[in-house]
Formats: sequence, C-alpha cells, structure tokens
Amino acid sequence: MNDAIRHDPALRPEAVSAELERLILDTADEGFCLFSAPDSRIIAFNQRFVDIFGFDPQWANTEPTVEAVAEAIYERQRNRHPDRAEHIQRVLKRHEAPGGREMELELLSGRFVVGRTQAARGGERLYTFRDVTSERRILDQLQAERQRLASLVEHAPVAMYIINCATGMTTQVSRSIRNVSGHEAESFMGPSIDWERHVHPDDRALVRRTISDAIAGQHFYDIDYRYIRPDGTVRWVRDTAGPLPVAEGMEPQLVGVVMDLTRQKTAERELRQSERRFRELIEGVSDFIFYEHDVDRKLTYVSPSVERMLGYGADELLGHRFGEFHPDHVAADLARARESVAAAIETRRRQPQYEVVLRRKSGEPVLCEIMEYPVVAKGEVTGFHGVARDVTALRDIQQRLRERERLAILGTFAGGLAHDLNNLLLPIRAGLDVLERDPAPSKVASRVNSIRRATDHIAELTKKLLMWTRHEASQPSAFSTTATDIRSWVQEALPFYQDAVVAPEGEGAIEVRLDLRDPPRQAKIDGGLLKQAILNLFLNARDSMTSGGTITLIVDRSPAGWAAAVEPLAAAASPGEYKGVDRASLPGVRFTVTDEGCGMDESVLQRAFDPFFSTKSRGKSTGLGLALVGSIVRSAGGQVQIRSRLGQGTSITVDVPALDRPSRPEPLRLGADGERMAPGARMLIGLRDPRVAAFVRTGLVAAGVEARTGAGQPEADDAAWIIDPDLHGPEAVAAVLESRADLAVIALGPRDDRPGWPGAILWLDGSVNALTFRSIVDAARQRNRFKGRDE
Amino acid sequence: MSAAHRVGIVVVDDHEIAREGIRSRLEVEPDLTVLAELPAADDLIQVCEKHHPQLVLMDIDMPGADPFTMIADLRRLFPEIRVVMLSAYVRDGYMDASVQSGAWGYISKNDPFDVILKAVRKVLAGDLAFPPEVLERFEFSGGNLRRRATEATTPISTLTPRELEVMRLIAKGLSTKEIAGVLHRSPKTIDAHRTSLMRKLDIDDRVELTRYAIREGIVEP
Repeated sequence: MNDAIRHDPALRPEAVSAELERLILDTADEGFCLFSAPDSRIIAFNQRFVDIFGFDPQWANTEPTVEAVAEAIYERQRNRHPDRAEHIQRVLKRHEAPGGREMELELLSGRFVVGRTQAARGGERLYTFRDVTSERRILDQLQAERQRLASLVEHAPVAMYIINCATGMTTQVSRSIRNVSGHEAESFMGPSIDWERHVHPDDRALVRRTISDAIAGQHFYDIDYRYIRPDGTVRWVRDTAGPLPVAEGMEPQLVGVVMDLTRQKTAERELRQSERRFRELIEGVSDFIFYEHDVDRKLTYVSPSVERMLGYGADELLGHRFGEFHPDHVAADLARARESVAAAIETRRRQPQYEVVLRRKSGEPVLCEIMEYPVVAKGEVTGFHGVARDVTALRDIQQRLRERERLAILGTFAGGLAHDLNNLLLPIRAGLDVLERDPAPSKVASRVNSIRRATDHIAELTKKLLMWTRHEASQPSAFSTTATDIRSWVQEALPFYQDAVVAPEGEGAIEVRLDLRDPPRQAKIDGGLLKQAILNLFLNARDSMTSGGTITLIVDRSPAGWAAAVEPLAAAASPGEYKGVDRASLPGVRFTVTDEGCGMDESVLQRAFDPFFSTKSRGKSTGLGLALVGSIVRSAGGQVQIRSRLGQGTSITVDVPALDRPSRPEPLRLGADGERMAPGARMLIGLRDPRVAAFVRTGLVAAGVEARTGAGQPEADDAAWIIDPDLHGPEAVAAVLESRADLAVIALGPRDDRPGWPGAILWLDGSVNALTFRSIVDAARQRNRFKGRDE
Repeated sequence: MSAAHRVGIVVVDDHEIAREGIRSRLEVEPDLTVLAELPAADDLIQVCEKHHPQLVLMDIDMPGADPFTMIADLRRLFPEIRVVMLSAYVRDGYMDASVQSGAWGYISKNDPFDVILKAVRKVLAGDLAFPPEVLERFEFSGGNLRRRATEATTPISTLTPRELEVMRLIAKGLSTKEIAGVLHRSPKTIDAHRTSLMRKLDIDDRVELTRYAIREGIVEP
C-alpha cells in the first residue's frame, strides 16, 4: 500500500487488493469510493469523496449500500432527474454495467462534478468523482465573452469580422464596414476569399495570400491595403486579425479589425514629400549648416553642406563639438556657445542668435551666425536643432557698404569744406607772404588782423561743422537735466540778436520785434545751443531782407499734442530713454521767427535744412546755418517747421520740450535779512585731495560764499573751516578752536571714533553735491559764525 | 623767468601740427614751458617719471592707450600731476568721463587761445576747469567724485570708465580678442564689461551699440 492510502483515515486498507490499490492510485486528487462485489457496500473511500458531496465521514464508515449512496447524492444534486425512483434505477443499472459516458452532476452547493464507474476483476466497483467547477465557470465566461464580441462586431464603429477557420467562411461583419469600404456588410459574408472583389487590384494577391495563410495556420496578420469604394474612390485600410482562443467543441476562428487609414496615409505621404523636399533643401544649400547636438553640444547630425562650408565631412564631426578641432578658436566665442546652451537648458527657450568664428579644415576663419532651438521632451531639454549660417561675405559687404556710404557723405562734406577752407587759406598765405617780404612794422598790424579774421572764420566753420555732426548723430536729450529759464533767456538773447542783424551799409534798416506771450517757465534745452539756433534763424532772416523790414520773434506755449507729431524723435530715441513717457501730453515752448524777406520757392524749401546747401555765394555762407538749427532742435527732442512763399517772407517755428516746474533749487541769497556774508569772511577748505577740495570750492563759490583751499590752519578771515577728519586729527582741531571759538568747523565724512573731537564740530556725512553746498553754508550760518566785521 | 621756475607741461596729441601750435603758443608765456610732446598716451607714465610735469594737456580721440584709463593710472602714480583734457569735441560723455577719471579740466580746441590759457592757469591755481553744469552732475562721496544718481541720469552716465572704453572700441569695430589685446585684459574680462554695459544701456546687439555710441559722441561716425 502506498503512503497516500495508508494514511487516509477513512480508508480500510485490509479490504483493498493490489489491483484495487493501483486503480485507486490512478484517481490522483479525485474523490473515490469503492463498493464491495457481493453486497455493493462501501469498503473504502477517501476524504476528497466526502468533501465533494459534503457527506459525514461517520456515515460513510457505516458501509452504506450503492443505493443509499445514490440516494444521498440525489439529495445533493441540482440537475437531478425529476423522478427519484427512476434516478435510483439508472444508478443501479450503471452499477451493474460500469464504464460508458461520464456523468455530469451539478450540485446544490454550486459545484460541478464529473463521475466515472469502473469495475475491478474481483467484481468491486470503483466510483471516482472529479470537481470541474472552476473549468465550467471559465467556459461559461468564455461563452459570454463570445456573445459580447459578436454584439460588438455588429455595432462597433470600426469594422470587425469573424472568420471560421474550419470552413473559411466569414461568419460576422460589423455594419460599420460600410463606412470603411463603402460596401454593405452582407457582401462580405460567405467565403472570405470573396472579399477581394472589393480590394484594389494591386493589393488583391497580398490580401488573398495573407488571409489564406492565417486561416490555415490560425495565426495573426496585419496588413495595409486599399478598398475601392462603389464611387471609385480608394480607401487605405489596416486589417489586423488573430485567432480566438479555441474551447472544446468550438471551431477555430479569426477575429479581425479593419480601420480606415486614408487620412493617416495621406499625412504620411505628405510628410515623406516634405521630408524629401527639406532634405533636398538642407543638403543643397552651401552657406547654411543644419545640425543637431545633444545637451553636451556633441553633434548628432550635420547636414552635408558642412563639407562645402567648413571642409569637414559630416562623419568627421559627429560626436564632436564645433570648434574642437582648432585650438585657436576664440575662447570667448566658444564660451558664448556654452552659455547659450546652458541658458536654453535652464529656460527651455530659444536663445538669441549670436555670431561665432568657426574655422575651416584649412584653418581659414568663417564668421557664422548661430540660431539654436532646444528640443524639449517631458519638460526637459534633450538636445538642439541648429542652423549655422556663413555670414563672412555678408558682413564684409555690409562693412563695405557702410564705408561707401560714409565716403559718400564725407565726399559731400569734404567738398564743401575744402572749398571754404581754401578760400580762407588764401588771405592767410597772402598775409604771411607780405609779412615775410615786407616786415615793416606799419604793415604788421593790418596783416595780422587779416590773418586773424581768416582764422576766426575757419574756427567758426569747424565749430559749426562739429556742432552739426555732433547733433546730427546725437540722441534726443529732451529729458536731460539741462533747462533754460525762458524769460531770462529772452532778456539776455534779444539784445544779442538786435546787434547781430544790423543791416550792412547801403541796405534797408532792420527792426527786431519781440512778442513774449505765455511760454512755459523753462525749456529743456541748453541755453547756449538755443541761442545759437535762434541766432541762425535771425541771420537767415536778415540775409533775406536786403531792403530792410521787421523780424518778429514770438515766444509762446506749443499747441497741445505738438510732440506726438515729432516722429524722428521717438524713432531715434535711445533704448530705455522714453519708456513710459506720454509724449502727447509733453509741454513745449514755441519760438517763431518771421521775416519780411524774399521768401523761398518750393525747391529751396525742400533742401533748406541740408548741410552745405545755400542760396548765397560761397564765403558769405557756410551752408550750415539751418542744418545746425535742425540738428540742435532735433537733438533736444524738438521739431522745426518752415513756411515760406516766394516774395512773401518766411516763418520758421521751433518747438522744444518744456518744464513747468523749477528744475533747480532757488539760488542761495545771503543778505537782505541781516545775514549778509561779511566782506572778507570766507571758508577754508582743508581736504586731503586737492581736486576734491577744488570741487567743493567751486560749489561753495556757486552757492554764494567766498572759499579758499589749503592744508594749513585757518586765518583770521576764515569764518568756517571744512576739514577732512583723516587729515586733521582731533587734537589739532581742538587746539585751533581753543583760540578761535568763533570758528565753525564742518567735517566731511562719517563721525570719527577717535576721542578728543571738540563737540562743536558739525559732521556732514553722506555725499556733497550742488544741492548740499547750500546746507554747508546754512549750517555754518546757523551757528552764527558769520559775523560781519562791521556788525 | 628761468626755465627752472616755469610750470612744466606735457602735451599729448596725435596731430603733430596741433602739438607744435600748442607748444609755440604756451612757450610765449613766461611762466610756462613744454617739457615733452607725445603722439599718444601710451608712454605718458614713463615721460612723467622722467620730466615731472605739473600739468598734462591731453587730447581724447587718439590711437593707442585710452586717455581716461591713463588719467586714472597717472593719478595713482603721480597724484600731484594735473591733467586737463583738450578736445575738438564738447561732449557730455567725454566731460563726465574726464571728471570721473580724475581730470582737472576740459577745454575745447575751438576756444580762442586766451580761454585755453585761462583754464590752464585756473587749474594750476587749484581750481577745476569744467563748465558748472558738468560739475553739478557730480558729488563728493566716499572720498571720490561720483556721478550723481538722479532721475534724469542718462543710461550712459552709469557706465564705468572701463565700460566706456570697451564701448568705444566695440563701436570702432574691434573684436573682443582685439579689445583684449589693446587693453591688456583677458577676452573673458572684456566680455564681462561688454555684457554689463549692454545690460546698463538695455541694448542687445553690436550694431545698436555702435549706433548708440555714435549718437552719444563716444566715437566718430
């Protein structure tokens, strides 16, 4: 007896023969029971047997008859025969003649059991019972899945079909095949081989072979082919099919899915064409290199044009960085490339293009403009697409073009200038010649005078020329700190203009009239430059009025919004200069100079502001007058307008930006209230750095006090002493104060830690500038140190 | 007055005719003498070491060493020497750079000679010879004259003398490497100056920078 049986407590081993033992061993993990030959009672059973049916082992040990066992099983059966007696009869009949079909029992416990009867040579009957519950459940689920699939095939949005491999017939096709192929589902039913009548003739052989092979071998397939729709149009489809799991009693089947691929195929074709065009493009150009590199700047792709541009084969460069081959690459250029890549990785954004000098294989430099685009995947930069463009020739041409333009401008300038200078050199040469030949003292004065006049004229010419070039190239400085008080400017400038326009002898008298209306308080323009600009307008007016007349200067507020029309100003503004400024509301001062002269015709008006353009004879005019007005005014952020008619005079209007608030503190006034600075009372500036001392002195003098510089001790006339704490120690200062209790001592700098500083010292920490000079004077005065000697 | 009692002056100008003119005019003055003439600022330190002038009259637009850098070097080595700029151009940028680098005055070559002489004597007497509106833009702070930070400060006034010089050389068309050669600094340093000045001026490229430099009068068009 083997161990399995011996250890089964439910078994009665003494009743089992060797043959039975073999039979029992074959039952493996099945349940069994053994009935004796003469009386058909149970003589052996195992635990599995009682477990399957839920019998009480005690009951089994009472050696029940086959009839009792059949009864007990009947009680536990769900699929039992309706007639109990009939059922028992059938069992007994089977007991008599064992073998035959297995019986399948469905128990009330939900188990499924398959039973078998065998006879031994001694007449014993062995019943074995196998629990097939889990197998039955899987089979049931499979059936349900098949039903669902069939339903899906019928209604799915993509077309599905099922082919029976045994018959080669298409058994199901979803209706949606119509959307894909244009043909009704019914026309696909039947022999699967008939499908091919809807398939494009070029693809039929492929479809036939593939599907036949798959049916025969029951394997997967995946093919793309074309359907011809009834209207003649062609549709690309992808047909994918595979075998369904085969269950017992079922025939092998293939289930397939047909998807419309037309759009995808069209897109693929277009992509291929576009890729081909792009490839042809990038491989055909010679002054561009397209490349890709990783985050370490090592090249992963280089277009073949690299060979034409740099002399390297693409293969030579892959895996390397640009610039690796030539040690004399400009380090700064390579650093720039590194920085750009690092910035792109950090920001994941394209960086501005830049230029680097690469080297040909031969060593020749190539100026390249680099533009790189980071490739971002899952939020990380994984590499770069780049374009390097050879701009060597372009930059060279641009440079030459600029040179040529410069030369053209210079030519115009030089021509006019050379002409004027030659004319002025003539009297100088002549005067020198005369002085050399006839150095008689009586002649010297007049010759020197004529040479001086000529050189003065040259100086005037170069001054204007420099001013013109300076202002022509300058940025508008409308927001500079320079501001001119209009009323005092007018008072000062008007007599100057009156003197300037006195008519030469023999010409009619010229009168100057001022019309001062309501101008803003200040103009944002250098007063001297403004004077020069308006002077040029007066001189022009005078020259046009040979028979005399009146020149009128009107000073007024510019009309609202005047600055909005000043186009060149905004365009020429330097970066950052006019950010956030509302130009429309900018106040302005308007100067209008009107004459009663000969006026200008249209052609003269057009060129009136061109440098070296003049209607007057050479020598009488530099041709720079109005050009200078234009450049001065424009550089101040203003505008010039000219109106003129031949024979009716000219009116020129200048608008410059204005300030309505005072830009500087009121000048310091000492006096009137008895605090007048006494004659001779002054400040001594004792600073270590003589240049700083000079700076402070200049400021103090401008603030209205007398000041001197010196490292020595204050004299009797020094009413205040500005000291440098580093230069004058506490002891020295204390000693001076002992004999000069009236002296105000002001220390420039942070309070010194050293002990011994007299308490009367005023420490002026922080910066000293045009505004604080006044505080220095005030501080000294408040201490009542400036006592007039006459008080 | 004997030569020993005259004030020694060194003239730096790349135009020989200008140097000659200045020398002949200065030497008419009994208290002034020209100790040396230089066509560029490169050898100025050595010349000052040899001649110990009291005053240097220096042009700005010259080939070679940057005059503003040279003033700063000179001030460090010979604080007693006073430098006065003598330029054909009257420009805010130049004047500010002159004050900032340590010059005592700024004279236009276009001024009559008596104006030039007056300025020279003013500086020798211990005064600064700058237009008052230029000095108003500065303040004494931390032991030095600095550009005042005001609302109306132009971007260019925020540049350091070195940045101004780098800008001048960029605008003249020199590459970083060439600038590094001229200024005896590493290209990396020059790059740092360039980045800083471009940031201050809010300018992105070289061409725009050149245009700006011309407008500001940093270089000739």
